[in-house]
Amino acid sequence: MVAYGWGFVFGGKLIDGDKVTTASPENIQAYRWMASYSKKLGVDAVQRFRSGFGSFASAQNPFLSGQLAMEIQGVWMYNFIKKFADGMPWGAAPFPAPAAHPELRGAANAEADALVIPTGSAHPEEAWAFIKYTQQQEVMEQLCLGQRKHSPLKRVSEEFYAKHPNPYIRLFAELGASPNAWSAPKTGVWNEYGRELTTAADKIGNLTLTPEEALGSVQERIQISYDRDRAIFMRRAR
Amino acid sequence: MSPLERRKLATGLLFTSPWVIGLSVFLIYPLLAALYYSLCDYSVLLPPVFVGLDNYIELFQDKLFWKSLWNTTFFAVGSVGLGVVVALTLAILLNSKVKGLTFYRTVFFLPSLMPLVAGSILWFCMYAGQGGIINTLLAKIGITGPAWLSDPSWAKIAIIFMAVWGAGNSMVIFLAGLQDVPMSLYEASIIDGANWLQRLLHVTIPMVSPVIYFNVVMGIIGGFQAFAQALIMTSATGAPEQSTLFYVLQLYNVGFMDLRMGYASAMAWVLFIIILGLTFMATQLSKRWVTYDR
Amino acid sequence: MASPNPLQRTTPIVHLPLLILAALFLGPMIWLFATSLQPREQVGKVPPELLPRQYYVTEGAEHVYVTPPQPLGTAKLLVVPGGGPNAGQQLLVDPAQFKDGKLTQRVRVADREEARTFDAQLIRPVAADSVLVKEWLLSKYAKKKARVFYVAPTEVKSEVKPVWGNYPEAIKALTSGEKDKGRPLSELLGLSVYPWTPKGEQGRTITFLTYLSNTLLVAVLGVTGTVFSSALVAYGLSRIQWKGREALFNITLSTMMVPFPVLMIPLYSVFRALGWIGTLMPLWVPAFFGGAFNIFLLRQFFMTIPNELSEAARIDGCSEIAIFFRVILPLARPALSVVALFHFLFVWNDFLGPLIFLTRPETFTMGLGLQQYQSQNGGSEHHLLMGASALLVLPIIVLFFFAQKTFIQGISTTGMGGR
Repeated sequence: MVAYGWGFVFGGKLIDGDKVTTASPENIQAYRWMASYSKKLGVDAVQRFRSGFGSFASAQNPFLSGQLAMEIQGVWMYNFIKKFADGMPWGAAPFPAPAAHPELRGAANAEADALVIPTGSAHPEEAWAFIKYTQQQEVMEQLCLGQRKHSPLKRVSEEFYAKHPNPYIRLFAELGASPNAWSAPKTGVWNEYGRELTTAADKIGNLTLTPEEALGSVQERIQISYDRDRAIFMRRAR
Repeated sequence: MSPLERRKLATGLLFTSPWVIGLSVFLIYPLLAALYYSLCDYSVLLPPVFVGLDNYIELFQDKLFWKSLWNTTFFAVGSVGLGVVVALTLAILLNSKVKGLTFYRTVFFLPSLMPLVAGSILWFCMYAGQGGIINTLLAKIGITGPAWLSDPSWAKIAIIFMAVWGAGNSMVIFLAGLQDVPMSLYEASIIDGANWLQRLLHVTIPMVSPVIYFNVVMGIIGGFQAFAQALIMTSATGAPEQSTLFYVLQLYNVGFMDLRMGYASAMAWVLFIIILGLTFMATQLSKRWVTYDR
Repeated sequence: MASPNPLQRTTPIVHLPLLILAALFLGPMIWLFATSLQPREQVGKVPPELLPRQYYVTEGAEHVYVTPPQPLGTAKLLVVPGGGPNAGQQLLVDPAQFKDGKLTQRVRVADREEARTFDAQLIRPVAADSVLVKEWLLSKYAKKKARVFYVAPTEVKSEVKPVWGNYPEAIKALTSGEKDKGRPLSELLGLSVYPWTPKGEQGRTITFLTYLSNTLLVAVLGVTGTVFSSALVAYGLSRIQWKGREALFNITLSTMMVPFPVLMIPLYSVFRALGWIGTLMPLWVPAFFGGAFNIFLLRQFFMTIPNELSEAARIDGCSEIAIFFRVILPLARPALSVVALFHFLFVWNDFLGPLIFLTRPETFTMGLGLQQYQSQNGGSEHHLLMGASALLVLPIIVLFFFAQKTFIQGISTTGMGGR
């Protein structure tokens, strides 16, 4: 699971309109929950356990080799299980919501690969024709079957599900359509925001800083960057 | 100017013209352009917009600027200090005409030739936590190794060790310098009753001090620009906890990831001033500590 | 003197620290090559092993190489179902699933699993202490289906056997965007060596050899450029007396303190204006205009050549250019080879330059290609990573053994240049 994702599970947002909301109560609760494991098990033990993990795309993947009982992963995990740990019994389920907030059920990271036509392309018409082609239902389903993913389109044929090798594919499709599905904020400062959050999650997990301190300083810093970025954007748009 | 002098001037300029052109296009122009960009908001995709000293003001208030500066200073001082000590020690040991000099010299020199990318990947694999070969060997002699690249307190030190492993070229320079020390000085000191330690401190090191000075200055200038090791062995964020966020890594992030080239140029010019300052300081210090031939 | 000169004695005590240090310095290199020759499964092993070791079982007279044995744990049965998804294949099942010649199996129906029953034939029971080994295949993308053996643990033996195949696999792995095809190496040879075409041709595969040819191209062009131009400039700064010579030399010296990061952003804009971004030109064209360090090195050397030689040639009526080519250059061969060697090393090791200026994968140099592979795969296949790194290192080691004297001399003179 990416470092910036935990807040969404608890109903927190990273940017809300004008405001950068890293240190919102939901996000703080989320990271406090994350830090509770370091407190319970000891930072040293957690670090050592984690440092023994093999690399992701290998038989030493911590989940595939049995070091981890469960992990937050996506629809691609089926491919890795098939390749490195074929025959391993496994299952998939949506991440639970906090007991007090059942309405947050179905929080999942929904991202997509995007086809873009950059400014100044040599052949925008042809590119657009290609994009239109890929968005047709039969073509998209063919592509998703090949990649073992679920389809991003609203209409999906039953045949697609019947042919699909991943036994939990319907679950992923449902989560993709869930009202609580979230994605990384689309802003010019996301690179910086992501880096800061990764560092903050590190510090919180290592118990170097409390969630309030870590998230608070990220919010302060990114609010400045975010305002600056939007001011520049506005100025240029004029 | 006499016609002969004029002709010599023309010939001289002709011979040096490639460099003069190159200097202007690839060095002087970019240097001044960087200064201009540092006073602008510049995202490469759109033309620069002059903002005055805003970038510099933001820079000096930026936590990450100071953090990366600290990280880089720690690394530069640590790797150069340890590197020079190790290289000099090796050179002194090898200077006593041991058998197998060529073998030892090869072994110590070869790692310094390795491409930084390959070396970083190699040490990254060796440090890999519990399963890594380094911790396994340490465990065999009863030491529980730290989590190296995952531990904020050890990550920079881990990279310093790799840098020292590549100090072989300094050793070669020291060897050449040691061979230049006149025998007569050693013989005179033995007559005066000096033991090996006194010989080392009062003859060897002073005579080699110009070479030490050269290595330290070049090492620090290079150390401040360290980038590839941090990127490859840890990550672009300088994980863990930004402990390996080196100055040029932060510059790269800000310039090429966040697309704030103006801000990055300000960082670059600050780096330039720092290096100039350090070189100047080193020159001043060398007047006190370095003995040249009388 | 009565007492022996302590300087003449080689104290044996020096050998012990030297040996320890030599082991420490040599260790990582040995580990690099050792790991590059190990099979995939051995690399991640805790605790790590040095010698490459492969397991095998004997089938008749030949050794079949297999994966490390995995214990089954409980007794099982080997059956061949008559129907269902594994019909006609050998299948290992729990004894509880097989009764009276019928196998109960959980089967995929649409996107759910249901229990179905099929006729099945019992081959043999498999003892609880048996181990599972699969036929070992070099590439994880190989089309061949790996045979599976269930044998007693004593039948699985191991021997020391280096996996040379890791190297071609590493070469294939560095191929960008073509990882899913098990192409033979011969098919990958003989492709793209013209990296500055505006767009890649159809059907071209970007391979490690592309990276290699790019690096060599930049190296050869760069060495030619820098040797020639630096010598030219150094000549002008040392063998001709003209006004402003010292000033230019001092400026040259001071440029050595300018760190590359200051220049790289505007240089990027300059190259973009010239249309060179996306090609290899930013990496080798500047070499044709001289480099401060090489100019400095060559100037110091040229100044050691006696003036009488030049004077004699001038009296004979030679132009400066002729003196340069016929008198000075031949004498400067050792210094020129140092410059060539150093620039070659620089190009081979250069990372930041390619990272900033190269945009298209077909133009990547080896260091950049290797780093991209490592960052994209999260250091997955360590044995391939080490194999690729070894490939990057080996040419340098070979070069060193051939040009040792030039290396050592060169490094020494640069250091002593501080005097």
